[in-house]
Amino acid sequence: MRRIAYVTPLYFGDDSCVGGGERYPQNLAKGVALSAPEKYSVDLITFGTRPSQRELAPGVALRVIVAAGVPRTPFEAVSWELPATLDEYDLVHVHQSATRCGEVAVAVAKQLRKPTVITDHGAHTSTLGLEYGLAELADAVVAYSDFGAALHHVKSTPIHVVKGGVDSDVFTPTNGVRVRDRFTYVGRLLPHKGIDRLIDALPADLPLTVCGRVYHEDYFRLLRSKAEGKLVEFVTDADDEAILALYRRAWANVLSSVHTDCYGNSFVAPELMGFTLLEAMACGTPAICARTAAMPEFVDHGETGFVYDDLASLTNILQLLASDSSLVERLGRQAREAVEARFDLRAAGRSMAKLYDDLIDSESGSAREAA
Amino acid sequence: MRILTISNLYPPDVVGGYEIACRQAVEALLERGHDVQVLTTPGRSPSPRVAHVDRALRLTDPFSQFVNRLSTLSTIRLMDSGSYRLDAFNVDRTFEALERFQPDVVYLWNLLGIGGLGLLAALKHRRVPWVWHLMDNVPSYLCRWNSLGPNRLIAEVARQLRGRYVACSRRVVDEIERDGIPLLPEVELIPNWAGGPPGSDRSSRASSGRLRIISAGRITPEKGVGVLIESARVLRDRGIESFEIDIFGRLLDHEYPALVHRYGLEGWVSFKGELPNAELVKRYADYDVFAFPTWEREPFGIAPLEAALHGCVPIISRLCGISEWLVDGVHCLKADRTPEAFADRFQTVIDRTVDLGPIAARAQRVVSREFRVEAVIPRIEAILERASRESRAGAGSTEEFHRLAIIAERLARIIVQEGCAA
Repeated sequence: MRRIAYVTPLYFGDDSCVGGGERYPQNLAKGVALSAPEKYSVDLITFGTRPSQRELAPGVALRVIVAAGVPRTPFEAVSWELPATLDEYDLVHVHQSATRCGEVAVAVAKQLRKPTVITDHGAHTSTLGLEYGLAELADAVVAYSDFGAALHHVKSTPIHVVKGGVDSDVFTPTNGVRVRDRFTYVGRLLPHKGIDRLIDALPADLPLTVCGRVYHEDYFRLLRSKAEGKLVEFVTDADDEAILALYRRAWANVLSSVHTDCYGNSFVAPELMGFTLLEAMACGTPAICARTAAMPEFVDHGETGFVYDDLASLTNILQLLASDSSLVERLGRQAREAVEARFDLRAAGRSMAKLYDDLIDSESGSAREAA
Repeated sequence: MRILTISNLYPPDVVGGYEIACRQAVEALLERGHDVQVLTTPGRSPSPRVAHVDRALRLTDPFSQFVNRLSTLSTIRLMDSGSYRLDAFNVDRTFEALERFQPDVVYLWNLLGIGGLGLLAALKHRRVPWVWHLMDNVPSYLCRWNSLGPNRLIAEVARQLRGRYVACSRRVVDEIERDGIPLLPEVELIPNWAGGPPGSDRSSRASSGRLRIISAGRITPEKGVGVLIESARVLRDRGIESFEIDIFGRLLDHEYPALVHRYGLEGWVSFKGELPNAELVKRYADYDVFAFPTWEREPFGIAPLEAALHGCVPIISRLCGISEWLVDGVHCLKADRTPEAFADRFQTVIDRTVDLGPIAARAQRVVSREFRVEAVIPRIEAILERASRESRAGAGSTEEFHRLAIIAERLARIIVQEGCAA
């Protein structure tokens, strides 16, 4: 049995979550374990005030080690226990590599001579690794989009693009009669998500449910102000079941993220994938996204959803889908098929397991075992 | 063998016997035909250039109490980080030396002040075999961490550190292992040694009527200078006045002369200042006993050996490193580390209960035979040779570790400064 450590400052759960970047490692872990249940187990290593361990899925465990001191943010968590912990594993995959937590984990893993993989999920709280070539220490970089891969500036470390990772066993089309009556936005309520633009583009007679936790009060006020006179509903405390139900009843799920938000702030990588697009697609719901960052890589325009360039186009797409149920069903069906074929966690898991095999079996891995 | 020796300091700049012994070992290995290079720092004073000594390392001086006292907490912690744990510059210089010299084995000495843990990690990464000569509890010092709770760094070092060690006393080994660092897989006890030629035979000594006592070394509480002064007072209070105590060494704490004055011991206790080692050892022939009331955790104590080599009988603390190697009443006299116990021992000599002559002769013989660098170097050579045969399979690249060292050093600096600001 090969043991893989996923070091992540956050994990997807009630206690710790920021966004898709946290669900992704967990899903990837599931995918790896499912792809070779006799060969791989994956532990998500994260940080807390007391140690704990519990199973998240077959072959996947969450292991909390005690953080040193009181980190100002989870991204700065480090632990004295990390070296001994990582030494138990055959390979270390560091998620959120551009954070203090990620940088220390890479340094520790390499000091232990472990095959090391890094993935940037967009939390760029430290540039130290960028300044000193942390990625060159890794044996592989895994990006989940071509866009994300292009952001890495590495000379010698190979970059692997492993797209997707959505759990199509959890996110499924409804078994019963499907009633679609709205558009949805699912995700954090943050300016770079461009939800204000979606509301601007929304025709007054079409309903939209904006679902996600509030992380920016001013922006939330702005959204509510823009929503006045429109059929916009805000849901800020939805659980997984409620989100699933929303995806299933949507004409389409929309992600309108922007490089420059309504306050003038710029974002190099507002979406490295757009995980909620894939979740909705897995539910048989078409996806609509801005031609921003990585999102267009996951939506086949006119096949699984639409990619728009301007708000007028978005308005037209929304009107089109709300009025053409057969188009919605066709796009939704094809979206589901695309997820099953390309973006499901099993597919991603198989790709990752192949990469892990290669790294562990590689010369450095073999030499390490011999030593 | 090609032997790369790494030491924080190398003569002429020394803190104590550790660095002097390093040079003696290096010179003995050179004499035995080995190719030896020394990688060290420029030290704290100018040094002449010597072909086999490369002073390319950087010293983050941990020895200046004055600087430490006046520095901010953040500065001290940053200095500790570079001094004890990791100095990426020194990692780079070490790799350069390894590449250039291609040693069969690395012979480590005192690693304080040069980021010793980082150097050990670098050698581990490159799978370069090493032997660490321990004349003090350096492994624990390197793990010194100013935080509450258990020292987690020690636990991690203990988990990862594997190598061959030479230790000068069981006391040093016990202290390091008690701190949580097992010296695995191999530690060999090899005593320190006295340098220079033996003095003349003093088994039949003329009595001057006064017991001539010498003490030499750092004039600090740890070395027992206070105990010695107090023992003089005890003797004088007993009505015994036929003795004199000369204390050699740099006087940094003027509390001691004040103490002598307060007790009215000026006629018995004198501070003679610091002498170069070569001159000091010549003076031993002028004295009957060498007083060494040092603290329990004294790793060894070279000065008593040098005194013995010149027929000056050591009177030493019962619990200290050198005490493990010499037999009470045979090669030395031992005393509990109290003024009364040392005064008792002095008195037995003064009243001739103990005859110093035979002890001096035996001590001189045993030191000449067993506590000489010529005597111990074959054993050191053997352990170096065993280490040199270790497999280097699985060595990581220099470039990788260099980058790792730079990143780890920067991360450590940030974390240290944040810790101070919190």
